[in-house]
Amino acid sequence: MEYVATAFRRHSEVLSAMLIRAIDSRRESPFHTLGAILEPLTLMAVLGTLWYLLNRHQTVPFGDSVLLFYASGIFPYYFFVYVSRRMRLQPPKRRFPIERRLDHVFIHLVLRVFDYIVLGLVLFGGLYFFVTRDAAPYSLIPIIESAAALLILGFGWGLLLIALNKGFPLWRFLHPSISRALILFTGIFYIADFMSPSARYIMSFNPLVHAVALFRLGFYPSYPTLLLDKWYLFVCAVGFLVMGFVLERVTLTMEGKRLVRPSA
Amino acid sequence: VIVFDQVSKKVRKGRVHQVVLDNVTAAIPTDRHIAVLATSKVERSAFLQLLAQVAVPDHGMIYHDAVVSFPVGQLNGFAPDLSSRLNVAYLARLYGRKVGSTIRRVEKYSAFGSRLDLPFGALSPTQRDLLANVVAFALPFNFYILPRFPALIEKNRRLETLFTRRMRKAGMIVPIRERLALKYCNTVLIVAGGRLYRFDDITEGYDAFRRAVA
Repeated sequence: MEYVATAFRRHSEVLSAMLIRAIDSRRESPFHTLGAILEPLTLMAVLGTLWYLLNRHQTVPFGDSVLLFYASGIFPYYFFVYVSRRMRLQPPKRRFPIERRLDHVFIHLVLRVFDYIVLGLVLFGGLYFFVTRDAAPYSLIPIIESAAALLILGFGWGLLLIALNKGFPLWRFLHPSISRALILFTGIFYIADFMSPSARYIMSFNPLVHAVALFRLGFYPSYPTLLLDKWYLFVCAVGFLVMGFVLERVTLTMEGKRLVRPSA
Repeated sequence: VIVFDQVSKKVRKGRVHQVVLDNVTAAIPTDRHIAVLATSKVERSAFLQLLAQVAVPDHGMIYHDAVVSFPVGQLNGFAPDLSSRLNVAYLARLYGRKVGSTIRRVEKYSAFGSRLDLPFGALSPTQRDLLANVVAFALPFNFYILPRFPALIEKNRRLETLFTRRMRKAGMIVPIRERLALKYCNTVLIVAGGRLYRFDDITEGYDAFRRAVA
């Protein structure tokens, strides 16, 4: 029992040291973080402006405010992208022996979650005060469920990406484009339930569609849920996580063997 | 002590696999100053990486019953864009030591002054080398792993003082020449043919090693 307590204390010391350093790094160069957070806000502003300039005579896809509709789709999508992107297993040449590879991933997750809590408060708080009172969530439970699922999904996908990047170098160049294109097939700008049955069936395989629908349910109590399958979403999230962990262990063994080249 | 329990390790050298350790069970004393000798650089490097927990064995387990340093002179985890001061604070926190006293010790023995506030990446290679050694010995470990003997110890009086102070209580393992081993070490450990051989007499150890490689 004492051994477990000591190990836990050491591990928390290591993680807190890494967290403090990450915060120091952000303080030294804040623009990198700000840029990543501002991306969804910029997209929202551009889409909102375009809507009012070009499309204002049309009805909003759902609810009273087009900005809230877009925000409730863009926010969960970018949360997933931001969690899974730039996740790195620090190579041994870039860390001290006491730091473990997954520690860096864990710190990455903590910082991303913190960023998106702040972004969520700014985005929906701003919409609440300046655009529509509907921006205050009707129920927090579906929002938390969706965010938890996206966190697990993003974590697992991020770990898988690391392995894919190592195994297939071309993937490193293809993935950002695929990830950006995915925004069109996630039901952010339209309601997936109103698509034709065949399109709906194909889209139902995308777990992000379910996550976006679940997130919107927190703002719109009457949001269509024909397509929403929470069970599928969580099975996908856990499945990705398990596959990610398995591949992380496999690459760890590879790293152990590759490591022992003479440093001289 | 560091206990090797049926440890096996192979490394790739070109197209062939070289055996570093073959089912070795041994206890490495962490209160001794050990000169490590190996028939090849690859073997020696792999053995030290196993001790420093940088590499994992292919089979068997290694148990550490002492606080072992990171490889001295290698500040791999330092962020080049952060100041050396913040990096030292990070390292102190990482190993559960007090930040203030560690920074004061580094300031005292490196004599860096305001250069400690420069980004680590902006330091010259010589400055980085000095800082890497001072930082390692500023942290109190039970056992220091030195991938090579720092030449600066012989040249820099402050570093030598810090090193001597640490070595009064701690152990170390270092690949080193016989002349320096006679001055700084009291044990010889030979890694050869997948086995470990220990000698508590320096001259006897180096003679045995010369016979083995002849």
